[in-house]
Amino acid sequence: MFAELSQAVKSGNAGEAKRLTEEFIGNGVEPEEILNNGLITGMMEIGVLFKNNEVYVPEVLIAARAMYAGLDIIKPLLAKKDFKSKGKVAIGTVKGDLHDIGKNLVCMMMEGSGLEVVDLETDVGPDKFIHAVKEEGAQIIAMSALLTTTMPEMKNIIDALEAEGLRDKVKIMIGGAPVTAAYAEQIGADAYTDDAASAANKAIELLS
Amino acid sequence: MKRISVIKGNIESEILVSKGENLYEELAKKGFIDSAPCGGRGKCGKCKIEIIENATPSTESDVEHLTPKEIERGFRLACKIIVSEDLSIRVFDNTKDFGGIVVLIEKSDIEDAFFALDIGTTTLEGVIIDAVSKEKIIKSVKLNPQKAFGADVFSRLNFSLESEENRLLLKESVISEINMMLENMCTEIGIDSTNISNMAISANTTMIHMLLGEKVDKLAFAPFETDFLAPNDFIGRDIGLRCENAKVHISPAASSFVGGDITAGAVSLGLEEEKHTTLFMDLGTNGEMIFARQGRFAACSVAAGPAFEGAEIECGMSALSGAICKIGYDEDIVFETIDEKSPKGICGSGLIDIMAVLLKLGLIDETGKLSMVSEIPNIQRRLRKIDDEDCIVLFEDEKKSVYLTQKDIRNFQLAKAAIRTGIDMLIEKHEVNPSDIDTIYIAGGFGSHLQVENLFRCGILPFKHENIEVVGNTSLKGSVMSVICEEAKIRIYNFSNKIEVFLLSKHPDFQNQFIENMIFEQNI
Repeated sequence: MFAELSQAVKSGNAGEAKRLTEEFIGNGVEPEEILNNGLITGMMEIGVLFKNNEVYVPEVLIAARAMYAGLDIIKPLLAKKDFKSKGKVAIGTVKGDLHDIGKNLVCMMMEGSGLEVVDLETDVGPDKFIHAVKEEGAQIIAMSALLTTTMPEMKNIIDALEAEGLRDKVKIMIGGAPVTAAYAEQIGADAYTDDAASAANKAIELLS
Repeated sequence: MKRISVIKGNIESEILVSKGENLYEELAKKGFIDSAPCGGRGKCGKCKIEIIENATPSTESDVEHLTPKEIERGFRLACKIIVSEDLSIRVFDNTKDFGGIVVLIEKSDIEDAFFALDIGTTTLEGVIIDAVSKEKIIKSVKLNPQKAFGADVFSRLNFSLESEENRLLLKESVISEINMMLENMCTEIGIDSTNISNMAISANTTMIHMLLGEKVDKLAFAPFETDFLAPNDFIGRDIGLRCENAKVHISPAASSFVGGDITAGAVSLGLEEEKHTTLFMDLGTNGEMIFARQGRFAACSVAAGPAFEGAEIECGMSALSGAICKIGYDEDIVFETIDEKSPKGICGSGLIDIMAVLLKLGLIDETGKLSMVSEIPNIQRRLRKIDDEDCIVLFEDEKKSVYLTQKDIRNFQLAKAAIRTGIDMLIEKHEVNPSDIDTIYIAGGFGSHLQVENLFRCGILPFKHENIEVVGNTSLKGSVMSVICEEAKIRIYNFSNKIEVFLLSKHPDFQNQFIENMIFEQNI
């Protein structure tokens, strides 16, 4: 029933995604069903293709655009129904850099898999992450770094969370061009993923 | 120390590497790797080598980037190998026919010469000038060898930040390529590089930092404000240049992202005197643009990527002999090549043309997907899969095929989105009506063949315009002007101080507009 919608998302057809979503709503379909079976399915399929290098960054961005076209319609409806997302992730780039398409792709894939994402943006220090856990109930902290020289900040943030007694209340995942699985282990992070689709999958796994 | 025997093409060399060193890093340092877009992080697969005997077990990254057959044959990613034994390997020559040298005027009695250079992120271009007659004698284009340490500015900055050794490596790498360029050109025209008395270099701010071995911290970290914008003149031998006696002048930058290549380029067009509303765009790797109106100049830059220079396009090449530079449609795809030679690849202007043609024929949908089906038989026979990728074939004979892949279209799409967003934001910020713009100057390595109507048709320009001028490599023109005319240097310096630079990525809507601009308008 939702095949057309997930195809619209997958092929990046924002107009169709919007139209089909509106049609479903008009026919009384539950917004969560539209989200999970239509929008999220489409995004996850793109995620798999992206991971296998069968599609590239542009396709993912354009698919996300189509997903958001649908999501924008159902979000207010979900909020009204007090919809519980699959979990809450606070994500940010640790230091210095401005726009990072990589981190933003992770946001999109995570939202596309039903997670609630708090984007702390860039140049984020320990305080903002601590705030996200304490005041906003983030269950996962996701950190990205683009420069080898800013990676140590990741350890600082983990240490700060420990000092606040919050370390065992969250799962921590890291990523970014210079980051590796070995580094994640070294600094005591819970996971490392090397592309946006895997990150979304990993987050869901960590929450279950 | 372990002995690594390296075969590249038909040359065999031996290098000594300490146990525990990373093989990619050692090979890159010694110049065996042409390009590694991810800078050795295991993400791009471009550092693949063949281990001739006793291949090490394959890693996850190998499996990800190599085919099972390749792994069976002993192919591995060099960046995943830590040297522990003697090895015998083959590396691959990926430079294709990228560079070239062109004699402009036949002349044999040159005593004093000038050297004008443009150091681009992706391409170096230099020209030697007769100091007496001021004529351009010979020019050369080469790939910037720093590509081995990262394809884009950011990965190179990262590499430089890691250690002093790396910072020096980047410097040595570009200087030795410049010296090779000089030697080739000088030999060709029968002069000695010690006869070069003056040199001017125009380049973006990062390239200048790297050339001079400057620390790049201020370029890599917010707020991205470096004060190393106008280095003092020096003598060639101070940095190990072959033209050791030359007085070397660096065109001053306006900011971290608007460099001497742009300031010198703009002055070469007389932009600083311009009374009319003008837009100047340099469609190189860093897509800088300057909007001039009533004596005020606003500039920004966008990460366009090297697509317009032919790099990272499967069959891409510089605008040199044999490049498909003009493409049209007349019941079939028709094209012209530079010098009318047999096609060797496609250059920037060819790329823009083919995108315009494909869009016109309805073969690319709004998301950028290439259709493999056409009702036109001449086109249908050109559409097929090559190496598992959807492609359109432009030319094919027993020796060579030139084609465009779906991935090439994706790279183009990113470049187009970047540039278009830059233009949108610049004109929005200054409340410009496109019809108010008198002239649009397009600079970049296209050669003179760019069909300007196609800039709108392929989606780079958000509007049609009657007065677009293609001005070539203005960075190089700026260097030429500086080296011939002392006064030009002052004009460029003054201009660099007048430019108001604005940082696009600070604009909260940048990402959304960028994604919107990736879409290809249909039926225009």
